[in-house]
Amino acid sequence: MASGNSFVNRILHRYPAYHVVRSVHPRFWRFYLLVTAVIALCFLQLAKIAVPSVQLMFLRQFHFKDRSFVRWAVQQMVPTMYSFGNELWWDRHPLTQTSLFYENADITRRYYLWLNHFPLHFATYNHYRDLFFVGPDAHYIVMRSRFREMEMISCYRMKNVRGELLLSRYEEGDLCDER
Amino acid sequence: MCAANCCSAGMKKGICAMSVERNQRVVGIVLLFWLVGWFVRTKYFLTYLFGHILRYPVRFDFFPDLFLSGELSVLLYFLPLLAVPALIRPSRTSYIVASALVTVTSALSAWHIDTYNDATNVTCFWVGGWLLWASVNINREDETFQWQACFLAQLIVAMVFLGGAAGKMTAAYTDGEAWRQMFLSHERFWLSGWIHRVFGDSRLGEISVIMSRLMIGAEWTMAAIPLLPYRWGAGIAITLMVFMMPVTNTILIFSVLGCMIGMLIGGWMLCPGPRTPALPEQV
Repeated sequence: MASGNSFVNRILHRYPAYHVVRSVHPRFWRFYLLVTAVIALCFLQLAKIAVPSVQLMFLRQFHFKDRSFVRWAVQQMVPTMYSFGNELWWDRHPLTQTSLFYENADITRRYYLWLNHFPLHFATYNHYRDLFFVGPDAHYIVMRSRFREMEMISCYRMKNVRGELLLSRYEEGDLCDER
Repeated sequence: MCAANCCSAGMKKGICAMSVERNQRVVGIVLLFWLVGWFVRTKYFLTYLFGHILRYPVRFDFFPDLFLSGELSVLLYFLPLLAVPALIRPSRTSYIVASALVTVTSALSAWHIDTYNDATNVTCFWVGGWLLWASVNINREDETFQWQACFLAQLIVAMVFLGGAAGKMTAAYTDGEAWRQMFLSHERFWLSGWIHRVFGDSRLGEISVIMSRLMIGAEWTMAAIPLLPYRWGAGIAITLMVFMMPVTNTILIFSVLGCMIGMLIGGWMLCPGPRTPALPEQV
């Protein structure tokens, strides 16, 4: 029994958590603050799998639908790399529900791809920005992110206005999600 | 700080100096990994910053004006160079300043329209937080500091990969579709080129399911490292991250993973091993 205990002790002594719990002291408050933040975010990540409101929160972040920039900025510190199934369509004409999901024609005029995270980075973080500056016409982007039972679709328009690419949302029937 | 936490009257000065030196070496190594990871993308970023961001600015009313400025993007990319002197003249103060600088830089980059998407910013922010905490406590001699550093490193790596693992618990990834579309639908990466040549297009579906599920499994494994003794967990996580680099993308992904590899190595150096005689605890 004693040797059993000493075996368990030897194993336990290799765990940082064991030593941290054994030496709790108020003067380590900075450490506890950091640990609390990280553990809280771990639980938030786990909640993402099952809780629809948490899923919606992350989808809104991906689609820039948070009500305030500050809230979005706080969420930015939560790691979400390669999350959700993110699809994007790009065209020179406004895309509609029918043209996207019920027709296969005209595919050559349309550009379609999957992205790892934050699908709008197709417009803001790529080496082909100059393409969007060609010609006076607007470019249209529809992006769809899916996670389990949840889906979010957003529509964006890009237009070259005096040498700047103006990015804004547009409405297209019932295609674009308002959440 | 030291008077309160480490070099007390009962402790031999030599041992204390050795431990502080070791702490400084650890912080220096983690900071070095952070900087190498950040600047490994320099060739890519020089083209991106000067060829695109400054020439083709984007405006989007979701972002405040400050975070739309192309000049700020350029500044933020090069700002961590100011942390280099801390590696040359290490001290508690220089490490605190350098760590605060790299942490703030990553946060600002994560909020900027030109760079918000880059996962590098988030991993660098959290490792920056670890660096800042370790720098503030750099003169501590007690073994508790070493265990705390290891525990925090484990937790940060777990949180990062938990984000990826949880975000992939959806049909797009478990059925391999996202993986096939992003990595196997073209031959840009060496691995996808090799798979196309060896297996042909007809088997891409099955291969993407296997690869996608392996990646999810690897991320869950790394998310679970706090459940393992430090060195086992760190060893597994470092091995998986090194393996991920050539498989998922290019060496550029070192910008995301490098700082975490450095932090786990730092924890490895600090972690009191089973044969290390415990130093007297100074509370």
